[in-house]
Amino acid sequence: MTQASSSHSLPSRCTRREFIERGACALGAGVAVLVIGPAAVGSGSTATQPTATAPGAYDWTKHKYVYVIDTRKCIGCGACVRACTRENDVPPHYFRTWVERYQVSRTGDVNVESPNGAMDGFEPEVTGDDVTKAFFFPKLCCHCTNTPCVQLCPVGASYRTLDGVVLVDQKRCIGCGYCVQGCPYGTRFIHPVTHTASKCTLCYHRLTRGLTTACVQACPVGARMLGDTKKVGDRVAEIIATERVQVLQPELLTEPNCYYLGFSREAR
Amino acid sequence: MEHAKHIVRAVLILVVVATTFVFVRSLATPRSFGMYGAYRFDSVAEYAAAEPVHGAPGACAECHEEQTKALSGGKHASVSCEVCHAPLAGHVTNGEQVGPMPVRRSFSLCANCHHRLTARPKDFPQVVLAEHLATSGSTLSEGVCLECHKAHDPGI
Repeated sequence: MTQASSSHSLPSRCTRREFIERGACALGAGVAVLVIGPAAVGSGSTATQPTATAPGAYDWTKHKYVYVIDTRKCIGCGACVRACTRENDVPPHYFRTWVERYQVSRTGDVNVESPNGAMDGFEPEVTGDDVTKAFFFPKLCCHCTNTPCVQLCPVGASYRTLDGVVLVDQKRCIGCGYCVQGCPYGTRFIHPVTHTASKCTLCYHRLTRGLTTACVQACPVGARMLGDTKKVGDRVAEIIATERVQVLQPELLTEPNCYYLGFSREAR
Repeated sequence: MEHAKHIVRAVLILVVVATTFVFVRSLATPRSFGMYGAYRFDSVAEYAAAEPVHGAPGACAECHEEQTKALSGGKHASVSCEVCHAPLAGHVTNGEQVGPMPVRRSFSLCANCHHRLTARPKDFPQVVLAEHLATSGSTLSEGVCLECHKAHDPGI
């Protein structure tokens, strides 16, 4: 015992304990400097960073976007789909918005089709005379308030902006596809080139410049409308407030911000 | 306090692990992450930075006054120029002409909106092409619609 203790207390060396203690102190101090340093710098830049997110004076706290589609006006021309594809460089056979044609027979049979997303419009129907009700039904991301897709994202790539637009961080997305499966409206897809989730951005680059979305601008009959509930006297917000509007699958409690006029029960 | 050294060791290890975790996490987390929620705020600016492809309303009128006047006075007043032509960015970018604007005369362009479909609103002008051509005595050719209708002011 005495031998052992004497061998451990050589004057020229520190003990194992001392070594660990000193080492830990030094490591802790070093780490503290490294952590606190960048954090302090980071918080400084946070304070100076304005809420504007675009060239000009766009303030995302002063907007809250809503979308209204009047299905009674839609003529199924597909101008919106073509405009969206060109505006956002959407790959072929993938769609950020598309138009469906519902054909309902007297017996209650429902036939839904969207040939190439209605990119080239629709051909005359060949289903015969038993169709008693037919209508076009444009679809896009509903930019839900209670988003299943954002909740599902395991890496914090999906998010909802303060002005009510659901977006995907293209640098952060790992392309797992959970959100594609989680969206009850089928509005997301995995981009075939980037292999990340892609979806309607509500033309965020246009909104921040004071323009409307490409699809709304392209609609020749005014079936698609973009509103801003934070704007006083907004025409579209007024429609939602005063008219009989419906959302897709309200039972899911996703609180979509895409409202439909002339909704029919067949629409899913 | 017979076992004080054990407690000190455990606490020491815990502190080291915690500080290492915080340090690594600070390196791995993007700078703007968590500013407004569990996402990278810079991503919003990245989306906003994209350049619009379709022009602002009235952009075409700056150069094409005559066509705009014809369009705004007719039944096609609600149709944006770029619907039948093409997005502005392929024609003019930053005030400079970069390419020709396509002019499409095909009957299929007109048919996109105006051939008869049951699902279309009843009051929307639409024709069965074969019947319509028969009444006007025309035969189906590429620019057949434009023989009677002007695209900017169709006069119907």
